[in-house]
Amino acid sequence: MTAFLLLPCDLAAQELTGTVSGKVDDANSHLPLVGANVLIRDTFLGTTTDTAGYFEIRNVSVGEHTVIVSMVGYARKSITNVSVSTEQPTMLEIDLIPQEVEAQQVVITASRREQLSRDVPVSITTVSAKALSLRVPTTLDDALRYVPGVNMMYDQVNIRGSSGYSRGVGTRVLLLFDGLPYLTGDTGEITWETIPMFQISRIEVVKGAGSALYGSSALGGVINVITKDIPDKPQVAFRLYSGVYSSPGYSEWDWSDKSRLSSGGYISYSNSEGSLHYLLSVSRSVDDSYREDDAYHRWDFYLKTIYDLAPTQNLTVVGNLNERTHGNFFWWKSLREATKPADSQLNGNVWTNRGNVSFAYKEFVSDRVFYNIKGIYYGNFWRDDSSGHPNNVSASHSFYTEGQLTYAFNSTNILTAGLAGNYDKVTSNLFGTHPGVGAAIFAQYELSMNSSTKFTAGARYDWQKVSALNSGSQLNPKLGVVYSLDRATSLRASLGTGFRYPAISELYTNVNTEVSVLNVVPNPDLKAESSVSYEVGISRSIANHLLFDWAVFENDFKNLIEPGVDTSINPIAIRFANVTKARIRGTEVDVKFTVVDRVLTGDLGYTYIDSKDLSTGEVLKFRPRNTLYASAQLNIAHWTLQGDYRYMSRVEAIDENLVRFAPIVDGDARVPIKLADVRTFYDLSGMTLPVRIGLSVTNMFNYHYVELIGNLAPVRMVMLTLDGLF
Amino acid sequence: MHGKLGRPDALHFNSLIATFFQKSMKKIIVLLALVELSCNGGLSPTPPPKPGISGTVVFAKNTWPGTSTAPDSLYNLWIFASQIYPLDSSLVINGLFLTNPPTIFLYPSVAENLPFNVDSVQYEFDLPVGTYKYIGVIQHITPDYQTIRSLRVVGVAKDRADSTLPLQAQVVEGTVTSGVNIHVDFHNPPPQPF
Repeated sequence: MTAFLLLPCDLAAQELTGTVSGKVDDANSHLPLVGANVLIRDTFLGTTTDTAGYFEIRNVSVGEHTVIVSMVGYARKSITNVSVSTEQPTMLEIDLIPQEVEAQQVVITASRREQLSRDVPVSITTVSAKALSLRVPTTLDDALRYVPGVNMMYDQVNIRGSSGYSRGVGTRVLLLFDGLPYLTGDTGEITWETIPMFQISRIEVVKGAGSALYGSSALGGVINVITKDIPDKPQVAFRLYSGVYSSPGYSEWDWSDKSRLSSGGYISYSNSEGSLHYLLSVSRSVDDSYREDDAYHRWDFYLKTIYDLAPTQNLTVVGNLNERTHGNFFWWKSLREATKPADSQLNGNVWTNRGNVSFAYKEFVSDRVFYNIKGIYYGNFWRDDSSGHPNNVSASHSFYTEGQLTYAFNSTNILTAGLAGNYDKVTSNLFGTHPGVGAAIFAQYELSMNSSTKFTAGARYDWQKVSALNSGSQLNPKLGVVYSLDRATSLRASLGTGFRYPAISELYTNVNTEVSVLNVVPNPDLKAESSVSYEVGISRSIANHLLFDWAVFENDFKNLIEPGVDTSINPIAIRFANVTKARIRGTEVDVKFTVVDRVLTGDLGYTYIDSKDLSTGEVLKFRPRNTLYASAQLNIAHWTLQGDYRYMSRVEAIDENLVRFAPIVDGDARVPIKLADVRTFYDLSGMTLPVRIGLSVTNMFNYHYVELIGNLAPVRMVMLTLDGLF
Repeated sequence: MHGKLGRPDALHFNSLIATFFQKSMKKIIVLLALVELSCNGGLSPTPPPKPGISGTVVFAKNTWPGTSTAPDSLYNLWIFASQIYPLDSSLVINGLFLTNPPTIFLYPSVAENLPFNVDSVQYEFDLPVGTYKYIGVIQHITPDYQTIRSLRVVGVAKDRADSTLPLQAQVVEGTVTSGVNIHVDFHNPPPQPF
């Protein structure tokens, strides 16, 4: 294997190379642009412009190349036929045209390859590193609360009503970490706290079933977390934050005499030595919580290395280790004592140690052929206790690997195909000891009929075997078309399919959790749940100041797995079962606007869903009918002011049996969610200090609500932040 | 790191924004007031409850008396809660019907019944503060009152750690002890306490 990897490197060493350098300016003001990305197409060679707008890329092979230049707020530019020779550097003077709204973002998740968002036949939303930086979320789920169509129910994500609530078990949204599945092996859930928040380049949210490319769990959509590249020059970055929770609005809930704080920060160092680029980061979070027995503290260690084997080949290795201790607050004692846990959860703690190691080998074989081989190991260990007495323990090991080839027959015909395999092993007193193994093959073909019409068709076949159960298989197709009416307007239509194998915990849990008075009993007869998504949409940019996107969608679900209270058993117990056939129809509007050269920007997103349990004719549980997000940002020189408003209509139906039998006292108490946040930042770089200070107030009006039954949502918090980059 | 290069002059921005704010201040204030008003109406604490216990009684399917599979008569059906355990015949009769106040409490009341022929019923049973050592469902099977043979325990709240023992529930001031669930099977009643 080593010899195979080194061979291209040796060949590259003999290759004749030259340098591409130059300057990037604003086309209107002619001022230099700082931080513009400059890339040599079909290679991993690239850099960003310095404080004077200059860049230099070395080791570019002699010949003709295409240089791609991009920056947030500007139209992406491709410069073709750039000639590189050994004799002297190739100089480029590049002007980027300001683009008021970003209609041409580059995305990777919809087709497993880079493409412009306007060419994607499904709804996709991107959350940039800058947006993350301004909202100061400490975990990824906080950041997703501002994405249209995405609802968070405590820690469980729901795209366009895909999920109800199952305490995180068996997510119906697939989380990818740099394109690799990132769910726990035992409960099949997303562990938001293990994502290194400060190292995210962007988050892509693909709405609608996506199993045709990504396999199990992508029933409602796919969230891909893409980590930052490593800069060429030595760099130290840090953030410190400290916030204080306000007292709740009622004295009955004010359980502590002390100030409840949330503090933490991170520091990272990155550098490049020859072909090796590396970044090391450590972060610490301590949160006293506004609720009793809900505090946590956390350590995170993150290492990313990139080794350039050649201009067209690189190997990336990422390691991430997370340690957390968290109070075991499951639900409140009662609405009267909403900041205290139920007596059965008093003095409980959950310890988690989670870590992953991933690798990605990528190679541009030619300007037509690209392939990569990737893999990840994800270890998840946790235990909980009550008053110091050990209770439940679980360890899971998940291995996943895939190989993917992208072949461009020509500029209008592109094939993407690959193979994937996984192995899981779970050992737990809750779930038993069970192995799982799976394999998959997938392919997608993209055809551009002409400059205005693009078709996509693909399918994936998955096979899976869990423990001693019979093996199962799934075939999931997808179809999509994008039609560009003109440069500003595009229409899209798509059909996607999704499925999810039941998690080990859903199949085999057989224990008294000690949290509820009810036992949980196994159901090894569970079948995979599945979905079909249909969507039509239109996207239009108006006068370069407004981007309008409207989608109408329908998601049909079969064999939905839900936890239910089985009253036929004595004593009564919770059991997961394939209980529901459901349909969700809806519409979504997203409007982005900017005025006065991005001094004022805004985003307005509205989602309406009409959900129906086709077995009972009733509305689905835990799905809000209306959600509205509004955001505005004012940028004046070095000063930024941002405000957010989030509305979610009252959830119409909840799991009444869970409330009755768990029992969750006052568990049916719920109201519409109406939240307002405000933040302001001042950048001191104008005073030659490379730092930014910020003040944010979340839940500004201290509105009291629940996202999850029996769980009072966070009260107002005032937070100070300090960011630096050297 | 968050430089201003590539943007128009800051002074120009300031004048633009000053004008913007002058023209829009009233609208902004109205908007903020609307947002603030819309944020009223959130959750608030409930008043302190009367002390007691709550839970659900679940009835095994197809076992209700009066059906072809159930031979006994059903005159009354109550949840009971006793601070005394074990019991004997005289303690039961005295505790239920003769002492005032009673030492064995009935829900809904001696003159009312739990609903018949249902799969389950939720209850919230107000009780004096104390420790209740024996909680269950009692069936009145003949028209006679005050005879032990007319009564039969058909379900007991079980201890969660050892289901052979009855659950002990502490009732304290201002709190409803929840999760006191009782499974009733008229065909397979638990051991009788008398």
